[in-house]
Amino acid sequence: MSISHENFTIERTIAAPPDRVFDLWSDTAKKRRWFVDSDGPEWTTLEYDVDFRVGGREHGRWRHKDGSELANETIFMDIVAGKRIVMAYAMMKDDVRLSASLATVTFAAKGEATRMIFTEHGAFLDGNDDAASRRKGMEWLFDHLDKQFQQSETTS
Amino acid sequence: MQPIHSTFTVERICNASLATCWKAWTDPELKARWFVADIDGWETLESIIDVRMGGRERTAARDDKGVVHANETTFLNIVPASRIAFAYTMSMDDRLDSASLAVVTFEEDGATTKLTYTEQGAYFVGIDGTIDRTGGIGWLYDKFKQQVEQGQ
Repeated sequence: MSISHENFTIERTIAAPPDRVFDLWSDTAKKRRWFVDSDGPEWTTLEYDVDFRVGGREHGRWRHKDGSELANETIFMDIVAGKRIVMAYAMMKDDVRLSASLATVTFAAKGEATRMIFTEHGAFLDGNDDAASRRKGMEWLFDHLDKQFQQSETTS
Repeated sequence: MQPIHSTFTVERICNASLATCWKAWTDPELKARWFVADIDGWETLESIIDVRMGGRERTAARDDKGVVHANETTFLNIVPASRIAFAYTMSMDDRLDSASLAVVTFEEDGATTKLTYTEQGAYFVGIDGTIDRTGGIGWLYDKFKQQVEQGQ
């Protein structure tokens, strides 16, 4: 049994005001687009549900084409509309626990844009995952979050 | 306002078996003895202990100045007799004070058991609460150690 305690922060500037960036987290349909539908063709979504409120849960399960399954269980611990989200989550691959994490994301106006800061406190379990690959995964998701905004800006 | 992030570790070597330590952490009645604040002038408002995967705990107490301190915990990983990972928030009068990831591990070494508690926290009130928190957690684990060394 081993545990690696690691923290990382990702900062993004997104060309939209905080309320609209927050919407990409709070509105299930909007969140699904960057959080779930951004997956490559090798992934099939088996389950995805969100109950975005303090004490509410988010659950997702995905199957890779190699047959393995990845699952995410999140609980929202604090929500301040347009400003902050605090959540705890665990990741599993098949029946193996990969990690337990606390994540905070804050939204602050920066001129016309939003400075979005995501910090994850992770306990990576038994050598099954690490902060570097988790960070890479989050960067991928935030690229899609950002892209979604650019698309909605160009279509609106 | 940006939260302040920091990490600390508290270790206790208890003259007690792993089984006793594990039970003191996971049995609701035994856990309440060391975990629920028993301070003169404080009134316990809620004490829900539920150490299992997906379980949620809530404890709340009103201090001698009338401020309500509340703790909400959710369990993320439990490996029997080995480790418990959980996330928790602390709030005062419904204002979020901190949110943390904590992992406690249990290692038997002969007649003793070493507990290692590591907390990665985010503090939201503009001050780094690490020193106070380290003291508070240390106080809890002193109570834990005392309890298990009495065989409970």
